[in-house]
Amino acid sequence: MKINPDIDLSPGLEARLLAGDPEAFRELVEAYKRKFYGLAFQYTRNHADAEDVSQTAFIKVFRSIGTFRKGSSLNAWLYRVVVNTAIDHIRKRPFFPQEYPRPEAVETSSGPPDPARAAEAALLRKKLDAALDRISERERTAFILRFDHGLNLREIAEVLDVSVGSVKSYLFRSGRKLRRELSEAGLRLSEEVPHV
Amino acid sequence: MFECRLQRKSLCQWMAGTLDAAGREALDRHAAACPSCREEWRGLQEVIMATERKPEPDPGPEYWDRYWDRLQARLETEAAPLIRPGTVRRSALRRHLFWRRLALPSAAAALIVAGIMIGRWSTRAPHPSVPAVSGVLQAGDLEIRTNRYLDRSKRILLALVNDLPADKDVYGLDLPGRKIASRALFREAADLRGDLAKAKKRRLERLVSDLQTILLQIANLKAEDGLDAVDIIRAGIEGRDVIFQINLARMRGASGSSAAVLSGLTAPPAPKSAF
Repeated sequence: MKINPDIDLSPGLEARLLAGDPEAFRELVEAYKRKFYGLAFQYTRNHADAEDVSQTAFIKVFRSIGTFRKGSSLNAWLYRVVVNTAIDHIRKRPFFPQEYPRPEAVETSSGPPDPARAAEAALLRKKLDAALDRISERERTAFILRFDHGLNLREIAEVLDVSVGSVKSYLFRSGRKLRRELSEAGLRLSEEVPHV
Repeated sequence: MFECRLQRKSLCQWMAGTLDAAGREALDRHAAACPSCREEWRGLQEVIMATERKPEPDPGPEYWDRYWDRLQARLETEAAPLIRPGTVRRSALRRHLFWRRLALPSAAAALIVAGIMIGRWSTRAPHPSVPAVSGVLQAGDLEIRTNRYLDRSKRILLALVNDLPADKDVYGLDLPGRKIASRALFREAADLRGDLAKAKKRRLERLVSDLQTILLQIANLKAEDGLDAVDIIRAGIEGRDVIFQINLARMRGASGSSAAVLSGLTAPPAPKSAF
């Protein structure tokens, strides 16, 4: 069962989850743990917080799977739990440092071996993260879910509890604002952009 | 300039991935001739490419290998029942979920029954009699009262529906204020329903009855019940399309207000109300 472009769940997992099968829950955790952690990290920019948020989100899923409405998107429902948990976590945090120290352990699994390219990737990540911090919460969430996590418009609409039209608007506005932020940060993204 | 505004919509659709082939061709043609739109499109493409090049954080295989163990440790303390690796404690989890699924609808059902009982009791309560006024005035008065009631209820419902549960802590939902307002509206509903029933406004009476149930649930909310209880009420509001029904009733009221007053001319004399 393909409910996320990167995640392949076994058939009938949703029904097994709703029936209270613990093995189904574990399977869900194994399938989504990287996505949950990655999304939480994009909000918290901190390994310890990302771990805390992702696990808190799984606990919420475990506790409230009974409230999931059959027929709606499980993928969107799961993402909604993580997004809400992450936003909640950030708001409760006493302060949100712009330059949070990145632990040594948090590196990229597919990181380029070339030091120059690694430095370029790190700079890009830093600038993009900083630009994402300066756009509105909904625009940021729509952008991350669409371009980092591959959710479709309807799923993003479910996560944000808005219409598909609003999602399109958030995506466009976020794209324009990010472009402006990155230009002002003096980051040259590419020499030649092919038509997409 | 008009063409640029038109193509801005196409850019929006392109960004969302919903631009069709014809739209794409038109955008290509326009971008070739318009430097400003071409630059904007190029900028959006760059941002998307930058996102694709941005590496994902990954703490490494050892972290992922022990992820379940750490989660399980938290589940044991924070979300009974216990789940052990390799052992399928179906009974514990099922029991937990069974009671959870049973408890929440039961609580909702109990609230609904209580609402109906209180509603019946309060409509039977004797009202102070007032001198009868003309049918025309009573019809107009009833319409105004109904509209005010619907508007006030809608404000409470919208506030509850639009608050994302995890955006705020349950203590941040201004429960005390909403509970007081809901309780007052719940009490008013009994009289209003009686008057609507007498005026044979059955559709409005049903709507007010639905609202009465929801308002009772809001009035009985407790912060310690957490956001789950709020979610049940939200599901009820959305499931019954209550806000849409209110909008519909208000639209009907606006378009048929003169007809409603006129209908009062031929209506039988209205019974005594609380007003």
